[in-house]
Amino acid sequence: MSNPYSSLGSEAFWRPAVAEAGAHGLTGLWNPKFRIRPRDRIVTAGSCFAQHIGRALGARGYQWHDAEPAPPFMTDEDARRFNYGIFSFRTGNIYTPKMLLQWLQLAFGTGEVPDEVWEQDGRFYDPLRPVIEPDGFASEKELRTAREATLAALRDAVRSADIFVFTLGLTESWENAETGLQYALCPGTVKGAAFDPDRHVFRNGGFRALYKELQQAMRLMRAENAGLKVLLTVSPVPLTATASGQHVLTATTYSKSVLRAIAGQMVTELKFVDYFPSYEIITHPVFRGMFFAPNMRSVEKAGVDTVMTHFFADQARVFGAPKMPKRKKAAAKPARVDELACEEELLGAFAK
Amino acid sequence: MPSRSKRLCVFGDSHIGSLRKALDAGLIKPAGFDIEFWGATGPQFRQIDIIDGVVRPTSPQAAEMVAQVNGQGREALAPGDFDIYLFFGARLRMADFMPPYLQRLRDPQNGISAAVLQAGARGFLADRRMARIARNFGASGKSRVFFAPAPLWTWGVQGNAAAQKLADDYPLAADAGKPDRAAIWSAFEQILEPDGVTLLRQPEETIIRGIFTDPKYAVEGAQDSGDIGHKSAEYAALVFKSFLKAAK
Repeated sequence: MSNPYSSLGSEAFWRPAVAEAGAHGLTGLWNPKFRIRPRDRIVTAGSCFAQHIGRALGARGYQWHDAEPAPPFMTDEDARRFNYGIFSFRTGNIYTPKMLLQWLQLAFGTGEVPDEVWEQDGRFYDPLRPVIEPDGFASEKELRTAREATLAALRDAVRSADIFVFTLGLTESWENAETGLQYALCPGTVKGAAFDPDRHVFRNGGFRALYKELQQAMRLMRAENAGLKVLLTVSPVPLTATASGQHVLTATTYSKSVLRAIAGQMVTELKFVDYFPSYEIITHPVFRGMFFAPNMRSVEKAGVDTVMTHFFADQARVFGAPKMPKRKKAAAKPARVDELACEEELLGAFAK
Repeated sequence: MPSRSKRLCVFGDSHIGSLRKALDAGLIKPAGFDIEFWGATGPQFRQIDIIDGVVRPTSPQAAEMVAQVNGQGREALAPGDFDIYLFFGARLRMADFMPPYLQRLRDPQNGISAAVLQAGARGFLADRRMARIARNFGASGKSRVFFAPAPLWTWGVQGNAAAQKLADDYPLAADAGKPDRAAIWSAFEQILEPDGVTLLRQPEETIIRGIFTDPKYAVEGAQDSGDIGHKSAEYAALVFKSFLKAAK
């Protein structure tokens, strides 16, 4: 007797798809909605894990777009210290849908985002990214100039991207009680502002509110770029701390569950949005936590590699192997302007 | 009793030629200094390195050129060999650094903080061998050390498209004024001073169009040779005067 399950492939059944395949034999975890080609311009933003995706795509020859590159001559170490090249623009981590929405509203001038600048010991800090510069900014003017550069990069990124990868990180956040401005980090935990229980309120977003904020962010981006596709992921990195009153482990489960549900709902409702299950690959019990560092929080390189292996394999399974662009030959370096005539110049002066 | 002359070593690449010419032409009167030149041109200059704290040529070709330039038989330089070292040109090319950073300082959509500027300057200096040597010498405390970087490219030299390309690449930098350039010089000074190196800024009166050297300071024959890198004896004289002021 036939039933709805009888015609399904083996991936629909736990025993062959998971129990027998084992952690390293899992395949077909993702059925991508759209092809991601090496020539597509890919933008990454969101929680920490998004940076791994950007780096891995770049390493594979995909066109990860750095819309706000570090100025020349900075060492790699300094570039990282100043948060260049981590995401496609220098927003720092965007943990929540509302933070994404705030950044987009500022960039495109839609909606009112309350204005706030933090000052401590003569240095100025951007509440939307208080740790973007190791020692804050020298002045409010400098802070605003730097923020404007990031907003310009964000505009460029959204308008020119083919794929916007966004990693959802947290449901918990801190906001200004009066204005509703959401902060990137809790005041008082970083330099810039002292915590004030009357001014700073905790918010643990639920499905409806966060979904609405993410939906608004999606609409805003699509209004700027009608061809933009969005790939959502959920960060597998557990909460460092929770202010919810719950145990940090259960608070993590709540947070990730809500975000995972939002991503799922969004994929169902919006054609241009897809979800890539990096969260499941890192956190699912079938992997027995093998991709976590001993602190059971940081994700090891092997985890990122496994995630990206699934990413590329599932893209190839559904759409065929990607055509990688030929690497351009580096042009020969022209001689320096002061080397062309330097011998003549020097020896002429010192000729006996 | 008259004080003895200070021993000054002018150390650099082909740019030291302009200073030699300035001296020969009597454009500068280095009273109180015994000057010795030491260096080589670009390709051979790259074959000069610091080994165990001593600077010496690392190839016979470079050694030959150093001998010709120095004319005193000095094969190596160590901290303390001279009272003062003046690094001149020495492949610290401000024409590489100034245009992209001035562009960013002038661009309201692409601005950077002073800390980022300084990090860029730090990386730039760390990657330049002669800057490392100067800092090494300066930090020894055995000699005073001054650094006059290679100047900005000369504007208006016919037949050299590089300057025009630079202007096209960094259009906003053309509007850069003294305060913008001062921010950059200051970033370098803040890094070099703790190591005992005094930076000599390119004289403001020699700069035009934000990022170029005035063609009146072009090296002799520049219009024929297309040389936008080297400068005239008059330019070197101006820099040396700023050195004298700083060395007082």
